Amino acid sequence: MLNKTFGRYIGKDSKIHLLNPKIKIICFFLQIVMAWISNQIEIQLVLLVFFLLLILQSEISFFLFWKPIWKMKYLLLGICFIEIVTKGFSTFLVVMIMKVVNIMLSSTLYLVSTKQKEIMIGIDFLLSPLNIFSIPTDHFSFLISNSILFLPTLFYEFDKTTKTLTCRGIDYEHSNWKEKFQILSFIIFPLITNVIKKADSMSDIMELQGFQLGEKRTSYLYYSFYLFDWLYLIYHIGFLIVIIKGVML
Amino acid sequence: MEIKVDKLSFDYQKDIPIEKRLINKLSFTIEQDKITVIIGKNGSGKTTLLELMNGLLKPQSGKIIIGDYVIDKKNTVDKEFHKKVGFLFQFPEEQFFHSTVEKEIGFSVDQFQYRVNEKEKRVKEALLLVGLNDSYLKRDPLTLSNVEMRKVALASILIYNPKVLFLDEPTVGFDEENKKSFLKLIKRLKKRYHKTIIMVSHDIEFIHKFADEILVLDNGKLITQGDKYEVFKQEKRMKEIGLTVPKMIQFSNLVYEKKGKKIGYRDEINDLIKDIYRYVK
Amino acid sequence: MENVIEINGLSFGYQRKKIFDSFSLTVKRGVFLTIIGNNSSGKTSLVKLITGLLPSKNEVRIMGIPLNKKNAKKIRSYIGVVFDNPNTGLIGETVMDSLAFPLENLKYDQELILSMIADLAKQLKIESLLRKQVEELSGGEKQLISLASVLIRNPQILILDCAFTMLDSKEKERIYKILKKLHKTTPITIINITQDIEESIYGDEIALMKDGKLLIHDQKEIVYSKEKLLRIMSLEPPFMVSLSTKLGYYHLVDNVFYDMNEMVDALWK
Repeated sequence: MLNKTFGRYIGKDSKIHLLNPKIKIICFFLQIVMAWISNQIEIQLVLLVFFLLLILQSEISFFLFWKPIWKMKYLLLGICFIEIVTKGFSTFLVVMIMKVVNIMLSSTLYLVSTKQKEIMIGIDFLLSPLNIFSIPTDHFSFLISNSILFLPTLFYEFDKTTKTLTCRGIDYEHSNWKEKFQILSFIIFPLITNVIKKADSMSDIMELQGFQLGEKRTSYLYYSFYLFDWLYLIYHIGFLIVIIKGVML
Repeated sequence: MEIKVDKLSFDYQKDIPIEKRLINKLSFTIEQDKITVIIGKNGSGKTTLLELMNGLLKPQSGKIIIGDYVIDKKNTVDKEFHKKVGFLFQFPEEQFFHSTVEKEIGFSVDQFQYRVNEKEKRVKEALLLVGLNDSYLKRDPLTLSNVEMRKVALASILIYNPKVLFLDEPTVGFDEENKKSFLKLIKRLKKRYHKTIIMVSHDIEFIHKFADEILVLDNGKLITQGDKYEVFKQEKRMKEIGLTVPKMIQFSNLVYEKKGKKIGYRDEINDLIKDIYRYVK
Repeated sequence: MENVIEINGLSFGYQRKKIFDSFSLTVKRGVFLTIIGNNSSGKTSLVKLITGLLPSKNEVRIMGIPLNKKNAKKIRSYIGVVFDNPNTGLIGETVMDSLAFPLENLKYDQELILSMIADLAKQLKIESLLRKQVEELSGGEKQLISLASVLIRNPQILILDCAFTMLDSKEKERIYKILKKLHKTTPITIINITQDIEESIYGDEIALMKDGKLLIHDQKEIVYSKEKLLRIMSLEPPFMVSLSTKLGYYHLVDNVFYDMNEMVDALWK
């Protein structure tokens, strides 16, 4: 069964948690870029150590970061196998695996240490240049950040639907490919219907509480910039510059 | 099919000590052909227990024996099991995905591989059993009222004639009239069709009208088990774990506590009145 | 006394189903009204029509103002609704987010929002829940916070739409206490829509709705005495009322006791 606590915010008072949301999302973005563009094992290793240090700083149990990677083990092993068979063992393969691991660590860290409101502020900030074209970026940031809150609902509905189908005689394990595909369609329909119903219900309640998409609102949380925010940002930018230089050489 | 639960323990998190688990060394037996109701405050593990007993979750220790089946850490159930044991989930109407009532009810017939020419007959029988007539056959399930939808969901389980029936909060959202008709149906399933019925409900007054056995859960542990009078007699204990007892029982208990008169437990208010009259005069 | 809600000749339905046909209901300010409706009474549609989530044709007046598309937003600010599903009633990740949400929509500043939340939390004794995530709460706690997020805007009308159906008795008890206190100490109008007649004991008036029609709307004592009407909806008066009435026939008690302790004392002086 899918992990119920995937991507859920874990509250701590670490320096990572207290980062300004705008700085945090920029640095997260930089982290992904860094992991993506460097093709040298040494750089990926340094990045790995860097991310592990950040995870340590966040005071969140490492098990939560290991779990999503462990769940992907078959996929990763599959890729390894295909690569080794077709092209033989190479450092490129190791680099690829490390890229995947590093990106997952960075993403999990962001999701797990950032409040939904902070994600919204971050996305809004990243999309703000698009305001020049009169695109309603605040709509998007609101909708995207709120859809994260729907993940538990999604897992709950999936769980319920698959259990109901099992009781009605569906035997996924002992079905052929054609039947498996059909079973997925049995799951998708109630799943989507129920999620839409819940979203509909929530939007009624939001309307009743005076919400209107696009209208200006205040926030009960305000974020200032502290020294650590600037240091964090400068460090990331510096690191990125080094990596870019290394890639270009 | 007798049901026996033996030192069952379970939690969603794997590395929790047994004492803190969602289901905590639970042991009890459920007799055949009876209506057993499981009660407990929200979060006491009722739905989890039902899912374990249906083989939908794997216990970490202990076992469940239903008829010839054993469910434990190493063994689980197969499709044949689900044919003999039916499970009506909470809000089952949210799981519909067919375009007509006929197809929705007949779905399990195909899954359990019954003879296809019997299917139409069985669908009509199941529909009749829950109190709906043929006119519902071609209707879109999603256009029905909540109560009608739930009856269709129940029909889709009764069609394959399970010997044991698990019902999770089947009357949530029902008004009094619909509760009454549902009660009639349950009683009929027990008496005429000899089904073993296990229900989870938190409607104490409603339970009082039909339960043969009551199991009381709190924090995944069995607090007490017995017929309704034995269980509801322990009003203080029930209050401690966040539950109430039927008002008639509350009254009898209060009279005994305050004035020492043993009025006795009644099901009907008129009988209670007669008792009170006798004791006051 | 002013009428906070006036529904006059309301007709409403969907494509194939007519839900209301010339339905009328008047609710006075400060009243605690219990609406008992059967499954096809249209009670949830009624709530949506009163709050403007569904359209009506000047058939609904809130505080004397006829409800229409243009003023729906303003009129909604006078009404707070707690719905039946605890899992969709809270907006936001944490309890603080949920309580702040309506105030942010009102564009209040940070200091004001925080102090309003602190005051309400103290009043409802929910300080310990503030930092929790919504997902961690039990069903009863979710409904409690739902209620808090509605009360924080100081609505003039509070509507509870089958808000207790998924709660166990302790959780219900906690919310009843809050409602009783509200009713006693503030001029708020409370409408509790339910299928459980026992809940009507906490209110002043009862309205019975069946299949989109209003069967009766009167003081609760009067409604309890209309046994034939109650039987149409398969209802009986609340336990203590039935007990008092029947013991009254035998001259064992001479009035209605809502409290068991008082009745026991009265029977065996």
